[in-house]
Amino acid sequence: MALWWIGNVVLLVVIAPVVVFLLYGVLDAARNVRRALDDIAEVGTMMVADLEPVTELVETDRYVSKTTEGLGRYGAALDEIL
Amino acid sequence: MSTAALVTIIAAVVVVLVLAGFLLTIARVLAGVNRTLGAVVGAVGTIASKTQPVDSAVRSIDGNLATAKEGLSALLEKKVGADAAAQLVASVDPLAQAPPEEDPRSEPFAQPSDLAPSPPVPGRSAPSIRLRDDSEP
Repeated sequence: MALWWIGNVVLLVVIAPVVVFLLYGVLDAARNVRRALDDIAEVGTMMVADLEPVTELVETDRYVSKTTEGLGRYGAALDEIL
Repeated sequence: MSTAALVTIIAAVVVVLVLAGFLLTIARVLAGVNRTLGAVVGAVGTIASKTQPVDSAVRSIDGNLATAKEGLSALLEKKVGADAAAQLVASVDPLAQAPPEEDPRSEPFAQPSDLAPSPPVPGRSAPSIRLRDDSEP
């Protein structure tokens, strides 16, 4: 019976606080992960908005190609004029 | 039932309740993490698809501009000669006039409208360069 009481005391005084301490550590880490992920999601959303004009690069490429063709014709004309 | 057994049962129930409460809270937080990760993965996929044409477009632009530069440089050298062409380019190119110890890439990007007109090189301004006659031997 004495050993049983000692076991009860150990359960209430040692094991239960250790379990609570460990679980609180896991919960704190999970909350930190969630905060970091919220920040990452916010930055990712802003990056997507910043990348909107990137698709216009294809149009820029087309304009540069046309400009290069025009420059070639202009150069050929200059070559004949000068 | 003895008092010791009753205390044991109560302690075990308390420990189980505490465990369940913490685990439920952790599960709820991890569910939120899962939802946020889904949003992050979606954003990363969008970023990847939006930046996909950058490589080919920039290479194409670079190739076109290099072709134009080579053509214009060849025309200029043909008309005024290599030395005069180099001087002319140096007189109108602000980057070519930068001191050699400065790295132009470290300078902040300047819009073309912000660039001050280049001062003419004394005695080497563009009008002083005589065009070479193709008919000359």
